[in-house]
Amino acid sequence: MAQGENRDDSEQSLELFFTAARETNPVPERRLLERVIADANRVQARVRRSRRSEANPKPVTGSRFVESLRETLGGWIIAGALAASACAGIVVGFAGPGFIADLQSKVFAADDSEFIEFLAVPSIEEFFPEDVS
Amino acid sequence: MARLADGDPEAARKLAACHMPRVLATSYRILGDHAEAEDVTQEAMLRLWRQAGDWRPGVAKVSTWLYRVTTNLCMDRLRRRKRQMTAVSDSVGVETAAFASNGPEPVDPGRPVEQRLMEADRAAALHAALAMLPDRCRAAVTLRHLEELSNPEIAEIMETSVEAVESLTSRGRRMLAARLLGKRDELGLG
Repeated sequence: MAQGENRDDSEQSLELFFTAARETNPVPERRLLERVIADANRVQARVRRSRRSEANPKPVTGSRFVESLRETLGGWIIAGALAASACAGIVVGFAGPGFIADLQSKVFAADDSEFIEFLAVPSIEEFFPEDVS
Repeated sequence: MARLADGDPEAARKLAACHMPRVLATSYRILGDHAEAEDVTQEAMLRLWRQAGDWRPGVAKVSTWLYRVTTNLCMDRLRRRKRQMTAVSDSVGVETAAFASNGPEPVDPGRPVEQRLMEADRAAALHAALAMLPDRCRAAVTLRHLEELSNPEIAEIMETSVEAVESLTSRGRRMLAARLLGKRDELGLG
């Protein structure tokens, strides 16, 4: 019983400390308010600028065209790889499949044939069973 | 928030006037340093301005969101402070000194001077005792007993369970009682 009363007493006292702390709130100073409002103005100005540029997109010309193409393709490395593959496709298209066989025999000399077999690189003729020429 | 997102400069002023005092009070009570509390307030409000465009009404209350940001910013600072301190006793000394040296002014200057001074002393004693609590305990007690939020609200702010909040606040109260009740006589509570 006495223990319960002590607890009530200490709870009441603690509550008086809390009440005193609640009564002594720090008040924001004017300069803090000014800093906060200045931040808000900066953020709002940035939002307005980006909205304006979204509403009135500049025409894509010159370097902007190259830049937007680069962004669309995903960077210079990917764009370069894409261009190289396109060139290779055009060359093969013009020269015909015989060109690849010639190229293969020139690049991989006779001594390398075992190595080629090891790598299981198929001959181009396997893809063209009939004589297309 | 919608008006703020539309670029209404008056909306920012109104939101600041409404929420800034609470953010400042919470951060001051958790950190115990007025200058740091002001920095946290500015940072929390800046995050609110940035959030305005993506704000979804009905998903969260601005006050709850701000309490969460404020508490997290304070926790980050307390962690950083601990790393910088070499000894726990030094940190307690600094925090207690901070509360004593640049504590807040009473809100209602109309009360008798003696009563105001007594309340300021009690508040300073409570803040000094709060500074001795573990970080999360201090935050939970501040939100529960000084900001007078409900346990579910605190659980949402601190991203934990209601049971964990209850445990933190009751542990905090016990620790505060152990430190403060010995000072009852000198603070006019005897």
